[in-house]
Amino acid sequence: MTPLPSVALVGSGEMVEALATLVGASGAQRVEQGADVELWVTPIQELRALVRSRAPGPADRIVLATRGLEPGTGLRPTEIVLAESACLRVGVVGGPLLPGELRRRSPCAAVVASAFHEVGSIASRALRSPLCRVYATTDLAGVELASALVDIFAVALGAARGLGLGTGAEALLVARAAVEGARLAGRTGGDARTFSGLAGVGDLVACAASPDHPGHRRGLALARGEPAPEVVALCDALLGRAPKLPIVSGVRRVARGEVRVADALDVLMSSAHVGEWDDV
Amino acid sequence: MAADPPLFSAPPVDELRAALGGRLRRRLGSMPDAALVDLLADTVFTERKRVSHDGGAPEYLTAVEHAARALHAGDRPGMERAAVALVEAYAGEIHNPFSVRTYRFATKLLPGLLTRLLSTTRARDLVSKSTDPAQRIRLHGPIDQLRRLAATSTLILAPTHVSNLDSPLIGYALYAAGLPPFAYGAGLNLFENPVMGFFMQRLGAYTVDRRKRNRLYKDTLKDYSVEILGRGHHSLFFPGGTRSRSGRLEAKLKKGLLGTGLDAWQESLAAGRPRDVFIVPCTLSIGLVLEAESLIADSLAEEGKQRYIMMDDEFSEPRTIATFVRKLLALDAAVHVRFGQPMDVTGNPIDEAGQSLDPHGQPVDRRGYVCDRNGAVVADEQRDHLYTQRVADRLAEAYQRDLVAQSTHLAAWAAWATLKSAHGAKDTWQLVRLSPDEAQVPRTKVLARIEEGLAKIKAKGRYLAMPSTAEAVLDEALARFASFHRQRALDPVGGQLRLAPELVLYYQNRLVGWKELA
Repeated sequence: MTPLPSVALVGSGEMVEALATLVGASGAQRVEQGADVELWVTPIQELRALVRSRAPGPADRIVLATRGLEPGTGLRPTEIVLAESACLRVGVVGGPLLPGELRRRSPCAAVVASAFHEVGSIASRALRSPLCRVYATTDLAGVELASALVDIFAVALGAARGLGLGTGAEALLVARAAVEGARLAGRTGGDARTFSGLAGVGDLVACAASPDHPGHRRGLALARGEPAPEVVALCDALLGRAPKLPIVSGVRRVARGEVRVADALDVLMSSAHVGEWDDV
Repeated sequence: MAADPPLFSAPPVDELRAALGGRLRRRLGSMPDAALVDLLADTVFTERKRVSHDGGAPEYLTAVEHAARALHAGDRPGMERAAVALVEAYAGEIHNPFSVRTYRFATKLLPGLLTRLLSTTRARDLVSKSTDPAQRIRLHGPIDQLRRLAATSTLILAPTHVSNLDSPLIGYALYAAGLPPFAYGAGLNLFENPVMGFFMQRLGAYTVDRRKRNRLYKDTLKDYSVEILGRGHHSLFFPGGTRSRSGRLEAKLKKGLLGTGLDAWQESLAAGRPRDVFIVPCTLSIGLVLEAESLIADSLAEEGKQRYIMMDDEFSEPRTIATFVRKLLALDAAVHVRFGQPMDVTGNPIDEAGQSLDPHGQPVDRRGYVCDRNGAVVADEQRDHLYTQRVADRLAEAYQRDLVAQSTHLAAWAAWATLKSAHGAKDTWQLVRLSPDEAQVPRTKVLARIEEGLAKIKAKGRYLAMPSTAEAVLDEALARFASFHRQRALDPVGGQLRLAPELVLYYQNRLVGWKELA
């Protein structure tokens, strides 16, 4: 039987604790140095500095639990690692990992993405247990972009709730998120199915059910008319990769203060009727 | 005294046969029955079909039939013996032992031949008086570093490819740069010329039979490459696989042979005799391409399929290679060979001493990519495939960066852009089918575009080998286009320029990757 890998956890906060719970449950050994795989948890805006300070090298395998795209450059998290270091074996972990639920040892699931089969395999073995189902994929860009897109749709969901819209509207958002995710994948060489999996729809369902999700809170703030420049930056980065994302465009206009949430909703609901999977 | 180049001690054929047979035997040790059956069946099926029209040596046909009988009998030991026999036959066909005597003879002869060729040329006024080949074939790049690296590590040269003249051109460039001879794969057909065949067989060329498509043969070619790289023979591959038919710089590169550098390096690490392997991009920039007309026709036919209708060719007489070479070399500085920055087998740049560098220029230990924490090499084909893909990506970037743009490229780009503007709704296949009267553009407009293009590429810091004004660029391009091809790519007619659209497309395609010109 293949021995369990050794894992180093880098970062702090709730998500590191959540991953530590999973590593503990898998039986993998936690180490400080020389790990088979390092799991990094850091906000996207701090990732570049972290890579520079830790300077991972050829022997390292780094899996990131970092969401979003870098403000200013629009780079995906693993692209930052590749741009700043000689480490090539990189991956991400995505999906609905909710620290609160893991504290209660409620079962969960995650997706590990890496172009390198060995990275996906090692990270999966480090995290999986009866507590957590882990699925591997080689669609690295797809999972990273899915996480970013989920953040925007979480904002849209929060805004919908702020307007007092019902379950039907939320269901519409979740379903159209899958279409915009597939469209994004099509334009970026990813797998159209990735957004329909854990990193996309799975994560979005968890956001919808979780009022404490940061995206959700930002959406409520938008519904109150508060601008959100960080949301604008993320929308820009996504639209730069795939211009035809109507809900992302709508969120962007609201976040810039160009229109109110209700007006953006009117535009979307009045747009031309098309086939459900057109332009995918 | 400097050590002899590794190729000087190239092994005899029997030693190579045994080595490649040995490699297969080791793989057979862990190969499941189904995989062996598949491998042999593929050989038997494809080779029986092929030899029915190509024919083959009796011993080879016998070996194929032995394989067929072993397959039919389900005889594992028999199948293994048959597979090894086939590989040894392939090895004998592929390998040509290097001849030091012939090399010394050729290197004494070559510069004199070229000088003679140049001094007897009857080219026009634009010709420089110099008959020194070094003036006509310009070499660029970190040549001193490459000479030092060649002495202590194994180099893989990865050039762009537009013409069948590229191999002798690179051969000359390597010699002129003071680099040792390189092994390289040459198609079987190139050995048919008795003179070329004599020299190629003895000067580093190994034979590649492109008619053989079976996996066992392709695996043998890769094993051969790993074997000779492991013996320190510098090697040359064209990663594009074939000449660029469209004229564009290679973007999607073949990874089969490119990956053998990584394999050879890992084998050397595992054997405890580490020998570094480095990859050197090499961008050839040639003002005129011998085969341009037929290559672009091929490319259009392939890309356009039924949209492209091959017009009847009106070649009046066959072009000779000697005529072309004479004319090309008569043109001032029409040939540039730029050696790029060498990289390691995962695509990282290296410093003067051959250390791999991270994006901040800090040295890193590249053994970490393939070794575990105990320093043992870990085999992982999928991982290696990704590393080689990175090398391919870096090579494609290097080709774009290292291209030396010439007047023919820029003038063609300007003329094509002007033609497209004038016929806005037409696509490429419609443009190449324009009549001579329709395919005309005002000279002034082309000049304006050349000026615009020159400013953009200078601002980007591109390598240029052309005059500095738009008028002079166009004049030089017109003179070059008039000097060889059956059709003139650009032909002045009063205040207009008449285009041979396919040729113009071919030459302008060289600059397609330069985004500032998009």
